[in-house]
Amino acid sequence: MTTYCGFHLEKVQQLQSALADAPSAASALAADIRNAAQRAEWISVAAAGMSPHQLGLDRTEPGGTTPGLTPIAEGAGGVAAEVQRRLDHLRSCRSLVADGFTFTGDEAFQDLPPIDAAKLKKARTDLTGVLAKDGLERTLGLLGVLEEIHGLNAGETDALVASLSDDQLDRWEEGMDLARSIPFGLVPDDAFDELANDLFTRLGAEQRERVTGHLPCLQPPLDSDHTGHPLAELPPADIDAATIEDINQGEIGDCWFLASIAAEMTADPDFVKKHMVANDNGTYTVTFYKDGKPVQVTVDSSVPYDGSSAEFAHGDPSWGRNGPSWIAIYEKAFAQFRGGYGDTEGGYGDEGMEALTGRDADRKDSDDLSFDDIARNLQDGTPMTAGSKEHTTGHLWWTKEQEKVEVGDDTVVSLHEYTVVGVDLGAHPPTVKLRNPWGSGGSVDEFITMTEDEFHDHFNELSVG
Amino acid sequence: MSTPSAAVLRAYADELRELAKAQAERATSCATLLDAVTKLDNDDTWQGTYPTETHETVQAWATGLAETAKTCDEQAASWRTMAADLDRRADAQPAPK
Repeated sequence: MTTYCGFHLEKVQQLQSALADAPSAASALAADIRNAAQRAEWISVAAAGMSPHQLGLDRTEPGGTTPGLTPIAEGAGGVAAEVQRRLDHLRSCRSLVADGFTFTGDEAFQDLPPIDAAKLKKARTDLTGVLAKDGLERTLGLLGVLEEIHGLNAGETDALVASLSDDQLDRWEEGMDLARSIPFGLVPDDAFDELANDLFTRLGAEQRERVTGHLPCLQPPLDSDHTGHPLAELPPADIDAATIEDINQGEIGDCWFLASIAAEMTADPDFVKKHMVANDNGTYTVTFYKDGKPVQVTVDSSVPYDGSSAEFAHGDPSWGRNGPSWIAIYEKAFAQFRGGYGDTEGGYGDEGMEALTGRDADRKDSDDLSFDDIARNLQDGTPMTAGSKEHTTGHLWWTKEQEKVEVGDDTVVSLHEYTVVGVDLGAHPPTVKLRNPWGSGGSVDEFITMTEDEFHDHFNELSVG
Repeated sequence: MSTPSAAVLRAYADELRELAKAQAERATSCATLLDAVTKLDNDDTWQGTYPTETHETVQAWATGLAETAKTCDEQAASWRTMAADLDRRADAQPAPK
């Protein structure tokens, strides 16, 4: 079999050899051309009766330029090495076809380490073996195989999943679902997070879509209050175009986290671009920080969807289905990072900012900082959030039924984290501008403006990143 | 500044003609440097995203090579002209008496 997945292996190998030979030929040719040009210049000067020595023409210098040869001399070797790695990977894929593994098109021609056939076959034997079992025996067996899967590379993981039937994927989900119900923390949440990261970072688009459909265990758990809506994949996230106006809190109490993202974006408009990457297989990798150390979390774009909008954080609802989706995915990754959507409920800006950046953040009494201090912080690019005081008519604080207090023309939501977006020291009296993470879709104004007295009357916490 | 002798000018002219000949050959070498690659870089050899990206890279290289080959040819032509000029200058010098 000479041609495999659209690649004529012998010809690609010849092409690779030609590419590998090109740099030395280009370098030698460039040197000859330069030397000839230098010598001709030397002769023209000497023939005119001038001294080439005095003009510096007898020194060895790069002299002249050969722009057409430089990129080949410097780049063709790298391309040749890439092609060779891909060929090695492709050959290892082909060798496994007889064992029932399938690879398609570009997914086989990836720049990946060659597949370890023995390791892949053993993983498949072990996995399909435990999937054939029932009940707790299957679940415990799966937990043992997860470590084996973790040790596979991307090509091996993709081949392993591609070799499983839909029915086997469903049995995998049943086994993992049972694992979630095992009490006393015997199955650590990390096991689910690690599996999700392994699959979402390694699988090609086709297999990634299959596991999204068949393995809900890869999604961050919902709590009992939020199980109503089926998952739907969101349109691709335009990470480069992210703005704080895209942040609209949904039906979960993570105002503190969303206000923190908006604060970071206020301090650094490129914040999202620096911490969120769109992967080729339709997943997204977001970097959070635990104890100051980066933790990368990879998720797909499926979120609970109520038919017109994501149930939790979402872009401007007036955009409908095609609204900005990055915030819903960012929030989902945070839920995965924390162990579930329910674990994102309730918190303060300093916790959010530390998780977002790894930098130490402080939580202060709002009286500790004057408007001058806040203005100086904003000027210095320091992100800040502010927490409102509690009002005591007894509504649950984590729902949108939070108490609201009228302050001048604005409304302050009780026990709610806001983003500090500006201070106007020139106003009479000076004012602070805050953003409500409910955004434009909430029942109150997205931005509110308060004097210093009003601010201290209604806000008792300032988090400084 | 002193004018080189006729013998020296002729020697320079000869060397320039040699340089021109070699530079013209290098122009051909530039133009054909990637022939082994381009004749294989086609749909019969490979297809897909990476081959398409590589094809674009190779095309860009080929364009650059064509420009360098043109430069080499122009240099060769100017050196031949310069050699002819040196010959004329040598011929114009009075013979020793």
